[in-house]
Amino acid sequence: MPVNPPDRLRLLDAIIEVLGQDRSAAAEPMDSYKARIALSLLAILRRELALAGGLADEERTRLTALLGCEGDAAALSVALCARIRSRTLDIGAPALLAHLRQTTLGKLAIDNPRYSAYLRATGASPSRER
Amino acid sequence: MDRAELATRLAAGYRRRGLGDVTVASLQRLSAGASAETWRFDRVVDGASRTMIVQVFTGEKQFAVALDKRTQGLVQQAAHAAGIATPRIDLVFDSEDGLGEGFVSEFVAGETLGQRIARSPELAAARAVLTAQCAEALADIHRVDLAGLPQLPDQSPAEMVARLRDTHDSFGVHLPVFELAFAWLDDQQPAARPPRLVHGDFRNGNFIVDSRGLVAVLDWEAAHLGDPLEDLGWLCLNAWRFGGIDQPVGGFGQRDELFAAYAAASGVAVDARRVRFWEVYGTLKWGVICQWFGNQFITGEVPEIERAAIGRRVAEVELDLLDLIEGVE
Repeated sequence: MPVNPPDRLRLLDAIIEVLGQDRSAAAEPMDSYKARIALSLLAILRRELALAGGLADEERTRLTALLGCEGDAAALSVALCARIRSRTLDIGAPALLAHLRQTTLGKLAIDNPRYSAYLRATGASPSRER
Repeated sequence: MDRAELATRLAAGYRRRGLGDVTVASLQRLSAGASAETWRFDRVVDGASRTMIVQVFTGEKQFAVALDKRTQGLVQQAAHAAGIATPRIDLVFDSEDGLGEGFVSEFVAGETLGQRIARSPELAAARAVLTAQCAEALADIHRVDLAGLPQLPDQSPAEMVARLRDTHDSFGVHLPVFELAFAWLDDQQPAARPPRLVHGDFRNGNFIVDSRGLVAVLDWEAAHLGDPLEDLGWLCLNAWRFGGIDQPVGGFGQRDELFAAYAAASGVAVDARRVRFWEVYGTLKWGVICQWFGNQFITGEVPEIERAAIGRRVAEVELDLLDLIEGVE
């Protein structure tokens, strides 16, 4: 499961809704606020189209090794949740933590690569942008 | 509510309580927030004018344990009476006011935008003293006599975690990092302590700051009884550091300074592990709140684009949780 909800179709719905509104109202402060969010969601979708397929493949490979079973990334991720919840997997295991970190960094590469903790984790120069 | 009607009812509320023949002047709406509408007006009585703020509940669904506006007003009133720096309450609406749930408090000038408090050059001097002032304000809050407070939620840490778990489960979204955090919280469960007043949302963005530092504490809607260290953990969430990740306290201070100042003000040494429990709990709670907002978009309950965008902020919380659990600083 390379990204969190809402999925790409729902994000497109939100963008279409905002951009489809009467442009004569564009001078309204609320409207430009929504237009800025629409733009940021388009940037997320652009990164998702470029990255999500590869990230899902890598995630599936890691999950297969971690859980010892086959499936797509989403199904294996659900299985991983069950294993953590039932404590049949050691929550301090380095392989688990490494997998979770990789998967999370993948999500942030799509959802917000300017996030402070992402910049710190990827060794990017310290920045106060987010 | 219509402006003229609000003005009439406010003046009537003052008169009925024997608070004088008040004229409500320059009434204007400031914002329609997530759970409340905010207005400001000048309370003119015997020629003396004072700017006031009105908060009225708008009926929109709030997250989990948020207090109703009347109880929130009563908590703020009790806190002010106990000497906490929080805006004085003029009126807490009752059924006779015909204004629903809400309250009127004094306007306090200063900066509330977290981004500016963490970064604006004009507030550099304030930032130098703000961490210690936050610690002192929290110690004062945690000393408030419970006898003067309205009925407030009083849950054990285990109950709080279980409630968060139920909310998260209700979305049907499986997140391994959240499962890890829930398991970690189960393992690190702190022992119960005598309950204190906990502000519940004491963070950069919910207090007023001027050039001399902390002026007033706002937003008591998450107040409850519990472990006072919950407030210290919440204050340190990365979500309110506004990019200043190396300054855990609101983007302006260090944990060591916060803990030392809190110990000095409260007379109680701070158990850093216990604060860490609450910081993980708070981060997870913020993540579930982001999910809750995102879910409002997905279900169509609130079909606004900002709700969709908040759903995609959950990944930020996942990384914050991993950093906390793995001890990455």
